Amino acid sequence: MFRVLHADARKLLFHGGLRECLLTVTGYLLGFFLLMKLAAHFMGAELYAYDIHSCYSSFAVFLVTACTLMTTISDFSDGCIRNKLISGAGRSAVFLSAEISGVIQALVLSAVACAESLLLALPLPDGAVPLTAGEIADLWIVNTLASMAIAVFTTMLIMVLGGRKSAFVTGIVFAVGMKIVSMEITDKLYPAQGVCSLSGTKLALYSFYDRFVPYAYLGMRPHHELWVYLAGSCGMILLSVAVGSLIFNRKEIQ
Amino acid sequence: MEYVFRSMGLGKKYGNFTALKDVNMEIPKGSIYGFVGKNGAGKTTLIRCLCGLQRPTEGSYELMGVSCDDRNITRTRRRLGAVVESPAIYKAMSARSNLIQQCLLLGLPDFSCVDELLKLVGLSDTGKKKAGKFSLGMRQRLGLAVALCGDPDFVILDEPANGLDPQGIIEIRELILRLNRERGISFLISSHILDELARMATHYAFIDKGHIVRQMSSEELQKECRKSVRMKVSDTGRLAKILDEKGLDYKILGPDTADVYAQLVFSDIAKDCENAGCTILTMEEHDESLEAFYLSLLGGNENV
Repeated sequence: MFRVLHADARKLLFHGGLRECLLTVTGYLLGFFLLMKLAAHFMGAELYAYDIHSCYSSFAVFLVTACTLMTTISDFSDGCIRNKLISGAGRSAVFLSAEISGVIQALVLSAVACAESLLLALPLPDGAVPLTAGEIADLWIVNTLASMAIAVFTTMLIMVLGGRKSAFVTGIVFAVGMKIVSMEITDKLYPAQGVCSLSGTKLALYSFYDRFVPYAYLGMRPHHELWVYLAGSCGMILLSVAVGSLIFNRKEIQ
Repeated sequence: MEYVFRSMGLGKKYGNFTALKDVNMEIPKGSIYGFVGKNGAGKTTLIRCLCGLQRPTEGSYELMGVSCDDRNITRTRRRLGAVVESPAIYKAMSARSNLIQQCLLLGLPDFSCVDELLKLVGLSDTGKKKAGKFSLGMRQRLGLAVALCGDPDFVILDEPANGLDPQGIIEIRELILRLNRERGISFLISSHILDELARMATHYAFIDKGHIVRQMSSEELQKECRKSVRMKVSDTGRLAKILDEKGLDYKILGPDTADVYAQLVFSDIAKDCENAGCTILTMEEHDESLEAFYLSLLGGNENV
């Protein structure tokens, strides 16, 4: 599997998808910083360090999804997945390598976003509820774990659906859908005003989603124990790899 | 005889549609095997099965002596190179980078073959130009170079002349012949340019509706396509009698047409015909091409 992974990792260096997503992160963070600073200046308000740190997590779902979709779909459409199989790579090796490539992309995106956020947040005040170094670390660990899980899930989706355009659309629609569901659940579990009014099965389901589905981790300050995030992310990764591997091993490649 | 590929009763179904049925095919080692059939006849399906992209629903096959059910079949495919449908290339990489990528994929210890392959397919001067900006012909050449990476024993080419200009077609043909002669590489070539195929193939298989209609060597094909004199006469029965008396090989094609497989002296045959009361209407040299043979074998001219 390592020779396939070596080749796949090298491909990431050349592929425009990751490069474009890295530029998007940088542009988004810088743009957010400048616009908010400007708005705060004119409104007589203040931009806090947490605003910058939480900026990436609010759009990481779309960025990671788009990045993995772009790199993996082109592998299919350019015939490279087919070529790997013809060249004697096992199906499991090809699948696992694609999944690990997805994880690498998520890691790179998170690392760059973290470094840039730290730099941009450096001159900003802490605000009323300051983030400690540990909390900042927790925030980025959770961001990274969730991004990795989403990357693995999205890659699995493409490997199972093939390089068709429908795979791209499905991936994006799924990410948007999960983001909307996550916002709805967060809103119900942690209402801005008053207390949570959920009970019974609905409360149990919403709490499970909030605790164990990585799509819910992004865009919120970590509020569970770290093991919960670890369990949710690892669970999604393992499930995606198991289901995807099972289907890809039987899949007919065009 | 040693074979690089043998299929035994191979079949492939997609739901109710039968794409391949009872395919028995043998590709001898060191041969250039021309694979001929209409669009949708099952050529690409068979190639996909051979390459491990799809699984046959019936029968089995052996690739370089290893059965498709054997665990080692994946390892055996490292000795295989293929361009199936479109060339598999990373569009964001240069030709050189693409070949390095293939070397990594095959686990080759170094990239020493890269420059040689680029020179071989005529892409050594492409520099840093990305493969995505290559013309169709250049992509085809790069696909061929990728397939040749790692010194394979068996190369499968699906329509290798696609997108190539006449000069390119000649170069690729000469390259295939050279690789076959010098390195003993066996080729399976599916092509629609039948006369081009006839210039290289040592063996042929004709496929129609998922079934191998005929397998033959180029010698056998030459016999089938041999030169003849096509005669149009008033009575082929009388002509047959004359030719039998002369001991000449012939084939009656209709009540007034016959092919004679011999060098005829016109004045002699004209005299004999006149004596037998048979009038010669026309007489012309006839050379059946692979294309004509294909049409007579599969009975149709659609999507050749």
